[in-house]
Amino acid sequence: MEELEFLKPPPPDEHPVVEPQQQVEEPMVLNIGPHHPSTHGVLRVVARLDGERVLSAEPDIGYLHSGIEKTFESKTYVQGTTLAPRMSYLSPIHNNLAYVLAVEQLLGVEVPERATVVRVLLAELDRLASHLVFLGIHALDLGASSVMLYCFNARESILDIMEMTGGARMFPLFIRPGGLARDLPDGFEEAVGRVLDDMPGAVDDFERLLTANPMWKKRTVGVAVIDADTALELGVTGPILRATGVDWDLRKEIPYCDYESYEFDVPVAQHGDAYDRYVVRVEEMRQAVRIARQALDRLQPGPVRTADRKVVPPPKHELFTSMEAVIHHFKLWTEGLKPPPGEAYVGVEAPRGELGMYVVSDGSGKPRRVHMRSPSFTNLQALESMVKGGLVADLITAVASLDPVLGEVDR
Amino acid sequence: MIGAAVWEYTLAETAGTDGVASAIGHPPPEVREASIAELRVLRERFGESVLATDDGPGEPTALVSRHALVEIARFLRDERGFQLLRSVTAVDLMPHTPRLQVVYHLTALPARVLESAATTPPDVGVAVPRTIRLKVPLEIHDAVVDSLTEIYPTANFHERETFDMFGVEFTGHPDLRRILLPDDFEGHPLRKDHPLRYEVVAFTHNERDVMRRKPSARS
Repeated sequence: MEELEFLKPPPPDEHPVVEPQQQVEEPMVLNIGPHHPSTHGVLRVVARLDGERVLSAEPDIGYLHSGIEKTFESKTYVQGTTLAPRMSYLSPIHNNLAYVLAVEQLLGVEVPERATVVRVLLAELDRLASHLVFLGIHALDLGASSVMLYCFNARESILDIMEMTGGARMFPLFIRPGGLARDLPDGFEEAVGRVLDDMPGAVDDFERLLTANPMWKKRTVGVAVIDADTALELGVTGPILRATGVDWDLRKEIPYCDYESYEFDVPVAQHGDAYDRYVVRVEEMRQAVRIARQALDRLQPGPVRTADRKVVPPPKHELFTSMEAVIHHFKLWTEGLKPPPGEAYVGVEAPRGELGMYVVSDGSGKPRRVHMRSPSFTNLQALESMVKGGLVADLITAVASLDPVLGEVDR
Repeated sequence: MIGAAVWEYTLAETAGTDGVASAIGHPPPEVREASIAELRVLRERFGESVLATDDGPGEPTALVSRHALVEIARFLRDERGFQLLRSVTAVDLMPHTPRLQVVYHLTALPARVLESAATTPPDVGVAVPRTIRLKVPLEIHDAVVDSLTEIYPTANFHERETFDMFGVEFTGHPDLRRILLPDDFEGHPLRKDHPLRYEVVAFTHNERDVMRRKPSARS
């Protein structure tokens, strides 16, 4: 690709190097955030600077701490479904899914085929929506505001689908222990089909704006580099790890929701810089469309909730004829479902990396402990090794390409 | 009360058709088999230090003594290829003793996924990933365990969070201080004996009172 004339560095004689009059004795400490548009919420980065160079950048977190893990302990398992998605408001379906899978593992309950397929479909739409936000915000942080408008426009169509399922755009809470909240509404498949038809073209359009754009490449290629060893040591997962050449995707390696039966590729890049992370995520969007298309083709009519009455309440009509159904209904609404004592950890491949839910049951109607291993929290540790020695402007690129959700970091 | 007499949930009742709680198959059977083999390796190598193992449904689990934790983690990483520490957390089992359990989730990536990356894990000849859970029981009045930051740098944030929430001291941690809660917070809120209370909202009439008890709210 040809370099644009104005991007080339000026010839040295035009800008003679001026030696500073006096040496700076101690580094400048610069607070970036907690209220800064490019910190994606309330992230505070304490950066020590020597001129333009970053000596250290320490993330200071906790501004959005809401004690979700403690709140879980006083809610029933079904009420907990509403809490899990709240921590990551950009990929709520994956949070919902991970929590429900962990509870189902504790209960040892199987969900019907249709429910699993719908879960995969919603999860991939969620991945699309999340990556669209990443793309838009990343470009916005680097000064390309038009991309954001296109991306949010495309995301809107996915949020409309979410609204069709559960009535809410951000937190539909459609996935419940034992299956789904209810069956899909009429016209759902056609609506999803339309979105999936439009999406590949839209992704191509975004790529046309950025991928070969010399300004975009100047800001991202070779910036915020992390290598595979460091990434693994720091527990980094998801697209950031895959951009360093590690082909690690939980959907392939430790599959859940029958992901092993879907056909898709895991994009891997080699350089571990911000540009490669962008490339990996864009390709993941194409693969998400591919998986969602397969899931849509697999949708067959059938039950969406397990027949196990101790997990999901009986249908209304049974209440008038069966005493047992009344008891089941009463117990479920007063005490909630009661998994046997035990513990379960389920990790799903969320858009930002491994999202793990660790649920401990003591046999009562409320969980003893719910721990959320959130990808953003872990990935944020990689920030310092990415930006050390780089420029301040690249710090913004690094934060944007990490794509942290602060609700998920602070929980 | 209609309670327990009418309604006894048992494992067999709540489980699926075959009465086994692993019916939903996570982690997948081949992953579990390979991971259970790791439990055997651990038992042979460390003997007494592995207090108990559990290969029931879900993640294979080893209950290990806190004195052997660092040694075991180093062995798992360097010789068994467990390169990824997924999470560190704790559970309060009040009123049981020992009350606290520090929980580690570890994953071994198969060599095939690391082919194109510039990293060389030890080759243990297993083509599937392995996952294992380590648990360290701790008394509440002596909640001290060695830090894993030397072996897994990712433990830094996770151990700080566990310290913040449970008051578990990680010896050897480079920077053990609160991470999510303000520095002047009293107590460790995820302990079961931490009092549940609410935040008093500051109005004009009680502002001075609130600020006296909560210096962090002062701007």
